[in-house]
Amino acid sequence: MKKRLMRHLVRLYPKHWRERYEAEFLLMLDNLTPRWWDVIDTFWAMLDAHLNVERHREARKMLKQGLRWLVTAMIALATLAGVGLLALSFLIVPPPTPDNITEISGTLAAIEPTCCADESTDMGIRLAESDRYFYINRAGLDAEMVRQDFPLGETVTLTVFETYLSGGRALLTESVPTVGITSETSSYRPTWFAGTPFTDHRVNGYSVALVILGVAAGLIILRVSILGEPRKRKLATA
Amino acid sequence: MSTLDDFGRFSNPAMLILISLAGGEKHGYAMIEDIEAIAGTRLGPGTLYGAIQRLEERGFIQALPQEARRRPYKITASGIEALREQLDSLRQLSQLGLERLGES
Repeated sequence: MKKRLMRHLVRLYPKHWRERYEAEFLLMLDNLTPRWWDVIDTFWAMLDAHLNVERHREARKMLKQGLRWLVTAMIALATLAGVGLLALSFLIVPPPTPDNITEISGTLAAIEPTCCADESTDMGIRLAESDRYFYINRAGLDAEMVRQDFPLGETVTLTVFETYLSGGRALLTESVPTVGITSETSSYRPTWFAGTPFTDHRVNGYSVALVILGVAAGLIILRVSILGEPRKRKLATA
Repeated sequence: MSTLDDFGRFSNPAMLILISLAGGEKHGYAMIEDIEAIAGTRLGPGTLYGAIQRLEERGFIQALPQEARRRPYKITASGIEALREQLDSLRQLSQLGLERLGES
């Protein structure tokens, strides 16, 4: 399996490399008991062989220098975007303060249904005097969901459903007051943030930021391992 | 003059190959075994041939005619010179480190 994989990888080497080394490489492979690391090593060396063509050395140097700049710029951009988005997720969509958490806990307790405590049920909240409706995943009952535009002190209708996947049959409908919602909700988020993927779930902002930072890390590895400049050893005297 | 420092990440594998070939002509698999025996590290096949390619292009090693489908390599005069320079440099580094440790 590993040998077969390595044989396939050898076919991906540049033509000039294969003309010169393929036969002896495959012969050496016959004698070798390869490890998985050898497969990775062959893959990495194959990429390197494409980037390090000795002939056309000047052109290669220029190409490599250009690639270095490009990858460095991409690293800088990705890092900036990732850190910026992470900061945005922290600052623009701030976590509730401890006071708010207390308030919201009280609120959620106030609208806790009288039946069906099973976490597999979902909840929906409908405002009594309007048709606005908020769906709440019971398992992920989140203070932020309840914060959306609830007029303070209004009576809402709470409906408990079976889980969405099982058809969403209503199990219970009851009217409960929004007792305990005392915090201002309108200033919680700037309006321009509405409509972005991060409106409802802060974690989305984190996830995207982490993916971008992951890309930056990958580019750094590429930059250092394949596009790195050769180091000159300089010895200090004692 | 070109040195092994120009080899980037292939610098150490190239030095090990030159040390191996300094002990006599060898083909690829024999180099892997010899290097494992003398340095306790097993070069991956991709790394080995990446380093061999660079050494050959710089004229530090030379491919010999095939023997039983295998192609042995030998170290050249400029390869010996580059290896000597590299080992001298390492000796100075080692000496410096030992002096700082108060062991010399």
